[in-house]
Amino acid sequence: MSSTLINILPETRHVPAAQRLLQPKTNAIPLLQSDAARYYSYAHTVQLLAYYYLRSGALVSDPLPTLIQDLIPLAITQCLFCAICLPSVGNWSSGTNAGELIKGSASAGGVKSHKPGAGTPKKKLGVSGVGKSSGKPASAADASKDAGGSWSSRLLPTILALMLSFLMPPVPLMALALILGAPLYPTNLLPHTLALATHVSLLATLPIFYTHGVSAAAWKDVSAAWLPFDEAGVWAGTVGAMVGGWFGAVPIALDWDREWQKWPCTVLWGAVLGWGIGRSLTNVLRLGIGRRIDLSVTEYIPSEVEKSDAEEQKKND
Amino acid sequence: MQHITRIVLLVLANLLLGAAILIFAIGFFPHKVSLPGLAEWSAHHAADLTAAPFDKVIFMVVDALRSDFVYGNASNFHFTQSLIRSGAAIPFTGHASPPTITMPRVKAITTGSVPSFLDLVLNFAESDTTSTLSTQDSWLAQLKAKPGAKLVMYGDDTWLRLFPEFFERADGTTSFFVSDFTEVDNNVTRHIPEELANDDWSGMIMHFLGLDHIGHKTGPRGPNMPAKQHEMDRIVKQIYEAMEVEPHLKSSLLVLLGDHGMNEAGNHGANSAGEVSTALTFISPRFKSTFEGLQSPSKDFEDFKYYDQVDQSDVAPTLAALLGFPVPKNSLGTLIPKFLALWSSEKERYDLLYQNARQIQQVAYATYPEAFDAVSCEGHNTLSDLQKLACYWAEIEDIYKSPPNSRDALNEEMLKIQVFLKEAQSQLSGTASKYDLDKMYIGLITSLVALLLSISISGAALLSNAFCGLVFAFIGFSYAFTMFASSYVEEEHQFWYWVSSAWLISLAIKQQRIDAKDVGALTASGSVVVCALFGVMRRWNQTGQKYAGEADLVTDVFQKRPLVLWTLIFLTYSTISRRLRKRPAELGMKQMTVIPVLVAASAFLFKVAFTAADAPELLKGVVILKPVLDFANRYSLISLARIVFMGLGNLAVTALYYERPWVSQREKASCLETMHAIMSLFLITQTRTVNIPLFLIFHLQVKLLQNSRSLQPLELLITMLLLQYSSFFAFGGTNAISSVDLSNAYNGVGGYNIHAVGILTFVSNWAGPIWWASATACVLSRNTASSPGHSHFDYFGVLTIFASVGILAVMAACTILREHLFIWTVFSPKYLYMMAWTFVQHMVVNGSFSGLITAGG
Repeated sequence: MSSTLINILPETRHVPAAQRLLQPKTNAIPLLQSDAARYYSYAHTVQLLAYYYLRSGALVSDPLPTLIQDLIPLAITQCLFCAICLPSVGNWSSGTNAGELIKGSASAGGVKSHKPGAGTPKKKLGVSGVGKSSGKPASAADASKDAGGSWSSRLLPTILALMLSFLMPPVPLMALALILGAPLYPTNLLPHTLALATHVSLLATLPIFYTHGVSAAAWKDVSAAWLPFDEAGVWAGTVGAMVGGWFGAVPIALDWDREWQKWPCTVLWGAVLGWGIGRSLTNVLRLGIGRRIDLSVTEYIPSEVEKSDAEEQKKND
Repeated sequence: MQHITRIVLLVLANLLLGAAILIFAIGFFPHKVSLPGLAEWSAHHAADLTAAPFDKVIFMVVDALRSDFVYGNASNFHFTQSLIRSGAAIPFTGHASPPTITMPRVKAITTGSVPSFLDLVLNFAESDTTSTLSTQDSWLAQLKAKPGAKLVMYGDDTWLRLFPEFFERADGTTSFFVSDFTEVDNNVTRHIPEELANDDWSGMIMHFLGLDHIGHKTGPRGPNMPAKQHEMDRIVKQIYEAMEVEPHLKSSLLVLLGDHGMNEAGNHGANSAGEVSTALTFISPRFKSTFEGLQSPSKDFEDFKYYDQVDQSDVAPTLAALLGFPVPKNSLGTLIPKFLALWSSEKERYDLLYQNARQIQQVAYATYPEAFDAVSCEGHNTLSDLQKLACYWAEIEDIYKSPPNSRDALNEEMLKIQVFLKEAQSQLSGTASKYDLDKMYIGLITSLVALLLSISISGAALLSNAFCGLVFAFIGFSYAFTMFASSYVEEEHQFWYWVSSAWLISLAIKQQRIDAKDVGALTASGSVVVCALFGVMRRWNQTGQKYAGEADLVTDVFQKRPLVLWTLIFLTYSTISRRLRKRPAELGMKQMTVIPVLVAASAFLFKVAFTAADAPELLKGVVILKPVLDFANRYSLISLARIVFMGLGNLAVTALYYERPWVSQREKASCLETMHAIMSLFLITQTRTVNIPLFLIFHLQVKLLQNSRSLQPLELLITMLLLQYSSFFAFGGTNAISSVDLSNAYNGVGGYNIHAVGILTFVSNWAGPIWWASATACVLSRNTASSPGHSHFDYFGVLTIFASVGILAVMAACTILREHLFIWTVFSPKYLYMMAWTFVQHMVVNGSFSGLITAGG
């Protein structure tokens, strides 16, 4: 028994493999060029923050029902925001050539053909995503002038984005929350965590589904936290919700014995607050638009000497 | 040359850090003045020596006997309760001041002094004669000083260590396995009939451990608790009946007490109501004529305060009065006033109280000579509390020279002395006023200098990667910040889990920015698995204070399904033995592959045998291990452990000989990996059975991280730092003294060998951090061998920066919060843990591993 079980364990690699940096593909999501879009994007932030503030008492006294009920207004406002302020997938130059949402979702294979990084020549070594957008803001703005399209044409993408953000991310987000310390015991708090994950999903991923659809390249960028910050406040809202939720866990461990310290109140508030702050910084104050998060990832390509060393060693092994 | 300068400066920074810690500790931890020699009657007293009511004492300590275990409604001490009702037993709730662990409590009970916090450290170092009580005054020393008096002792060998060569006859019991509920007590009980028949002793001490063990294993309401209480009650009955009939026990006194209590989880060490409230009952048939019975069982109290409250240090002066010897010199206790009724004349009572007051005044004088020397009692308002005390004493002394004759005047004077006693006791037990702030400031400044120095040496390394540098700064600042919040000191694991999980997720995110083609998609997804494994690891043991005792993987999964646990344990052992077996084959020595297998097998055998003794519930229903256990039971645990240690030592020497680490970087890297496997086996041997699979998780995490991407030196360092701390808590560690795990401290140690036990204790509590230090050394060394850019990374320098930040923060917290309610229960233990982290984990473990990597590099 032992030897078969052990063989699952990976082997030691003696020479580090090459690591080539990918290039982010996505462009910054534009805000539609109408006054209505601009004002609504402000109002949207205020209105959601205010709503969660007003519901804080209910959340503390009755967490799960409140969490579930609040999904409805959250979903409606997020859908309105998308429909009013953002271009839907396929109607703007997203950088990933994802096509329309419907097409994208119908044939995942079509999207896959645009392999990330394929054929892109590497210009230099050691490139980290140093605040450079590979997208062209000018063309994005051009596209967004009439990208909104008719109201009826916005309906279907909105509904699809809503369905996707309800169905796809909550479970992975719940796993993420569990890694970050959401309670596994007592197990009766797991539904709370799922509800929390759904809230975060609607806050953080619904607008991305609306604008990027299910483009594999775009979602690869999302998983690498590599989207550029945009004037619509979408990506900053996503990042803010994640970081805010993380900081929201801090008060739980304190010995203040307050009712609101219970799971998941502070984490939800942290996520919403972080989302609001992120949106305000980019959407209102227009800070850092077009820049990407720099994680100082370095490229490493082994020299010929090292490669031959590695091969030699492999033979020896 | 420059390299040498850096090393010298780095060593200097660490020396400064060590000096800072020690200087600060001297200023921070209260230093108790201890008067040498035995107390003697004052000349004045000798003239009218009163006959003491008792001449023998039977001192029955039941470890962790909380007040409600004897007095409460659910108690099974029915006979003792009947004695309380009849007046033959005088019940009290004895207050045990923290740290509520056996050694300091025995010190308090026997000497009457309040043990200083440093006694806690000495609890583990209690072997050399300087720290025993053989030179300190105690009621044992006083009793023994009487002509022809002999002492006998049965039970916990703490007493034998504290009082070497005090006892005429003794049989010490070591508390090796908390799963032992019966043997430890039978070992005491079997001596009782014989000793009750002997008439040569004047003091018999018994210390029963079983009840404490039951508490540790199953809590205060465990299934074995009622039976154990009944067993203890039967012993009280046995002794009491002998006291009634045996002529030589006619004037003997039985004291039944607990050294400390226990909390609802069955542990002790801190200051919750359950831990500090102990039963304290004085029993003698003679009391019936003086005292009226009390209601028993009593109604239950939430705060465990039954009957009258006394301090445990009051036991010493009370025994002194009841048995007729001077109050031990360093006692801060006061004679329990209730017993004054045993003396008929006011004069005698007054004299007893005066003797007690005089003794405590001498302690006060030795502690604060300045307050007592220059006393002018004019203008009471401007006097400090200490000066008031001195004035009060002057009055008492004046009156004692010409005592009043009327009963009323004497009674009034006695009340006055009692006020003095209480006041002196609280002044002397309080420690807040005794900080040596100058030393504390020197410590703070020195550690600040060490921090600045280490930043100037190694700060540049932090700039090598902007994101990691920021993260490192964030960790340093936020960790320093949490040191000021008592809840975050108690729940320190939350901080490390919080940062570590986010950090590992950031590594997984970074992995997404790398082309997966080079390593393969499956390997590239390893970083996600690392995060998931961390999620498992953080739930292994529920730790901290707030949620202590709640469900975790150990209680919810492995204790219910031991077979799953044993499968994982077996897998852990075989993973390591596979690595060790492979190496000789690679080196072309096939015949030697059998040795590692034998060593690993013996280690596994020892673990099974140890588990059968330490946690038999984990073997219940695991039929497959039955033959292994039968085989192991033929040998003693000590020899099994020694075989394992010898095998590991042999492997280490062999590895050193064949791997030839001095030849090149590659040989060194390979040698470190072999040593790491040997080290892992050692660490596993020192780890509690339920925690062994954690090593498998760590192993997978390292392999997956290593394969998915070549981590930058700073990335690797942060990962290691975070996982060193996280793993400490994942094993169940906390910042409370009660969580120090001693179960593996005696592996292979026959007698009490302070150095061996000390090292084994550290290793068994810091197994996770040591493992991560060793694993990182392997990865770093391998990276250095393959890409020379890694070799000059200042690994230890950056760690020194972090160590300095932590120490500076803890020192600052202890200085600023020195009047805080939790200073002795939360912040001081944290300081002690910080000392262990810095002196051993940082300087010795991390220091030597970094030395190994750099050597020859």
